[in-house]
Amino acid sequence: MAEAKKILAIDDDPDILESVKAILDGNGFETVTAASGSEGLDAYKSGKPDLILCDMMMEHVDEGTKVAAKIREEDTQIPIYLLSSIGDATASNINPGDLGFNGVIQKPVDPDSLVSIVKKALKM
Amino acid sequence: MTITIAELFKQNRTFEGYKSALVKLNGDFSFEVDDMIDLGNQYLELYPDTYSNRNRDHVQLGYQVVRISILENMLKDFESSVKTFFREMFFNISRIEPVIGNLVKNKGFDAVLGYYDILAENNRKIKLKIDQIPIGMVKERYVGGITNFYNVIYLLKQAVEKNR
Repeated sequence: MAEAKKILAIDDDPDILESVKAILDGNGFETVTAASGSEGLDAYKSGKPDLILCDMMMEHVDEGTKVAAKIREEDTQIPIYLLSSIGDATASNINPGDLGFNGVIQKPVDPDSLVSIVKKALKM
Repeated sequence: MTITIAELFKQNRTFEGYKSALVKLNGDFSFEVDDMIDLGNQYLELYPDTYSNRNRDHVQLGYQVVRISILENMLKDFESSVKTFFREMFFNISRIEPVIGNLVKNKGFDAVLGYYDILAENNRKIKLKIDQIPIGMVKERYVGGITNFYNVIYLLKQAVEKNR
């Protein structure tokens, strides 16, 4: 049987992390969670995930962009999706590609859409 | 009309205090857009937070206050015994499968599916209200707060379907 694809979810909200993990694991993924940008970078280096979901506002209001920039220094290919609660007005003013993201997933996230986006990004 | 949720939070100031007082209202409180904004402003007055200087404990408290408010409004028309089960599941998702299994045994599949349908519809209505809140820190808390309900409701549906 093929190994489960590994997802790294980074968010400072423990409830969101727990429920996102339950959703993704229930859909056959192996989800690792991190509760801050710095934890996320450690988890990325040690775990080598296949895809990353990253909140924007954590230790700092733009922590997500810092995480993406750091990861992109080493890996230009891994899909990284921004989870944003900032709002449509702000989200439409940023170009996620310029910040290292493959896309923006606006909160609140529809779980079926999240799973679909992840599967599509991983060509499943 | 009972006390507003903003006044309730001002009186209780902590999550546990607010939660305890809110649950006692048994859903009898106004949860319109203005009430949501007033609660948010009251919370920020007591627990300041700015984009440039984030206080993570204050942020998490904000999400928790929003979540219990949303939950109690969502459950307002449920019988008390059923409310208890759903409060348990929303605050501990590891309890979803065993609790739903027992509910289906005791109430029947159709009744439990009916509860799910009400929750999903109430979630949708609350989201429409959140959409009307002006962009800013208060809205950010409500968006972050309701985000978890989408996830939990998805997990509830999965658990219900497993018991079909």
